[in-house]
Amino acid sequence: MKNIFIIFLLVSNLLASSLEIEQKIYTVVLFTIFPHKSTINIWSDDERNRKLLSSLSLDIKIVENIQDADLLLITHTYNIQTDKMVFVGKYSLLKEYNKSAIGGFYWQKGRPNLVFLHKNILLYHINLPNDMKEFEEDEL
Amino acid sequence: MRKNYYTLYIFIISTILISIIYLFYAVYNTKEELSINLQNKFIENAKYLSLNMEKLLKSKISKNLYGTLKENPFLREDLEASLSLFLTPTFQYAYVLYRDKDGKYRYLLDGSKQDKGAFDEPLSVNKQQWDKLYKSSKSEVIIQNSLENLYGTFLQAIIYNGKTSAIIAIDFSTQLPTSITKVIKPVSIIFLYLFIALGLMIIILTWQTILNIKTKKQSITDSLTNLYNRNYLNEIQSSINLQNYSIAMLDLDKFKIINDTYGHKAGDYVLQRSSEILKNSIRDNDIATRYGGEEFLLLLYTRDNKKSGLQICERIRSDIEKYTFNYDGNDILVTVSIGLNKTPLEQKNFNDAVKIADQKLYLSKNSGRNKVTSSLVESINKKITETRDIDFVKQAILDDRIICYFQAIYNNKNNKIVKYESLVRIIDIDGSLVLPNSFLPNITYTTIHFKLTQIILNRSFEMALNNNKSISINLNYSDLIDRDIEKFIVKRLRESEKLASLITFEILESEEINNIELFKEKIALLHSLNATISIDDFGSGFSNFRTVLDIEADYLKIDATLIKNIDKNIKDYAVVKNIILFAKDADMKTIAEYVHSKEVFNKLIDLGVDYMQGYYISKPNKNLINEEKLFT
Repeated sequence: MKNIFIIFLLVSNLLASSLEIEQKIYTVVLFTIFPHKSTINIWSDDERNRKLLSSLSLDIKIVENIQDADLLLITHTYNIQTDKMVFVGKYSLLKEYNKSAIGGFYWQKGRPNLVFLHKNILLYHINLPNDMKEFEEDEL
Repeated sequence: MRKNYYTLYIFIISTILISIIYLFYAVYNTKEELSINLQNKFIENAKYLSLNMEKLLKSKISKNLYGTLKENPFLREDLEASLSLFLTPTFQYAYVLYRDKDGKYRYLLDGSKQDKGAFDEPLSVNKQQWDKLYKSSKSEVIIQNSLENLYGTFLQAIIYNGKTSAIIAIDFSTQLPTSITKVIKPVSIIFLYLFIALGLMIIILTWQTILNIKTKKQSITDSLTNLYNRNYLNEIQSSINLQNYSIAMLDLDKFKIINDTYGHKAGDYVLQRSSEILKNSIRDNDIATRYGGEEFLLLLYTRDNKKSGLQICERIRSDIEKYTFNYDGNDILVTVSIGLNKTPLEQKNFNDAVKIADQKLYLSKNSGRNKVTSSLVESINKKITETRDIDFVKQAILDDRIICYFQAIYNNKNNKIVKYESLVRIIDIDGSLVLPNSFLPNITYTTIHFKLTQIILNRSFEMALNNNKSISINLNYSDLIDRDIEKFIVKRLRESEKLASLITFEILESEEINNIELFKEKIALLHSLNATISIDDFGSGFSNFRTVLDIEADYLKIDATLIKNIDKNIKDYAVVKNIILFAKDADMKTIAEYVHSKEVFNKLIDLGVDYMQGYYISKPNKNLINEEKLFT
């Protein structure tokens, strides 16, 4: 149900504010990635994203040290050497973190875009719901 | 005329309202039209741009669009640079997407200067609309129009070999709607205030209309009985078709006595119940009004059946007679007299028709009450002219044509005038003297009667005081129990002991005395004021020895019917003789009236009557005569 809601949001983005859309999408995505984790430790290089994550209904802890994180939410920074799971905020960063990025969410031409990288989804044993599989990319 | 003004007001207000609504509609439409025109203008421009882009693409790539571009990054760069030349601040994005085997839309080219997509990068789009375009190979516009901004995407299919190979997309956005809104906002605010003012005006007008209707209803409704009142009659009399109606005048019999005996609340109760009986007895087409005091006027619809008016009146009379009016534990007997004018159209106007019904009502009153009179106008007119109606007395009071005549009461033992009886007269317009028997019966129990009594009392009191002579004044039971008359007598007699000693009230015992205790109480009051009491017309009618003894009357005035033939009729002689004996035993003086001959006079002297009056001794005179003018 939540997934259907995401799809709906992706195609009718002007019905809601961009912040609301992002909150909903990140909630669903994080719940999909960590379905059983009580507290999710996230590192982010973007102040706005940190605030956004803190406002979600999930139990999220914003960490300062990459090593303490379960997930890196990278929006601006290239060349971070890490083996942590990465979720990006820009399409070009998907290519940069091709090996560890499970996907990304970003705005392009006023439209919200969600992408999952199939090989890394498998790598991290993430069970993507059927409704979200249409956002999977085999390769970049 | 008034109606025309209302029509004019309604026309003006409607015109203003329609004009304002039209203006609002026109302004709103202008805004809409401007927005649509603006939108169409952008779409048209976007269409030209996309056609030029399509031409450009096709001039560079003749077949296999995807394959060519994939293999040739320099060509992509070149084309994207060309596409970017088409862009303006309004047309921000120009790009070409293709649909992959999975149905996802991906970039082939992106001429955008910012937010640029890479070759093969997916882009979330409204798939339903894009797929539709892919299938139809035509152009499509996706508009997202908010209040302040216009967002749109123009889509143009690129056809190779009859199939859609890709779609040119041009995104445009403008804030011109904001400008339009800004320009129109003051006008909208004016309209907002205008509509608020109009709304308030409508509320006030509605409220005022409701108040007017209420006030109007109150002004034509009698608050006590909820029947229509005289105002309503005044309103409808010009429009009512007298051909279809009979007019009935109703008057509750002896209502004044009910009021005086049981109080005004009891009177109101009787009026209310009687009105309910009226309402229940008439039909929907009939109109019942309270004409005044205890008088009602009915307009009975008789177009279909001329007899129905009489039947209804008879039913009302019978229903009121049978109804038990119980107030505060007292059963009050109420009857009604009715005058019915069955042919009001024969009169000149509504008022004349009412007057005929009124005259018939007085015929009912004069012939014993509790009756319906509907006899032909010709037959009653004769009777009416023989007597003088209530209006005659009203007018005489207004014109100050009421006068008192005084007839001497003679003491045969000392040949002195002991007192004078005050007798009412009206001077007619032609100067002739009208005697009370032609007008008193018509005004009995009406307020006019009480006004007349007050005038007589006042004139008689002044005459007694000015001449220092004793005067007898006639009062009937209804006068006696009238609060205004009582107040007047008490005030005057308390003011002057001398006046009290000069006044005798001649009280007539009659059928109307329905509360003997009240009667006794009022006589006791007169005694307490030092006035003397005489019982009038004793020996006939409703004279009662017990009552006479109880009230301790000072005089017994023997009835004229017993006196006038006393010289010839031995029975009358015997009755008078015994009355005189009874009076002496009861310490009362006797007065014989109607002494019209020497024979009667002598008989009465033989019987030892104390005082006498009559034409043989002296006729009534407007002045107090002295002894020298007796027997002349």
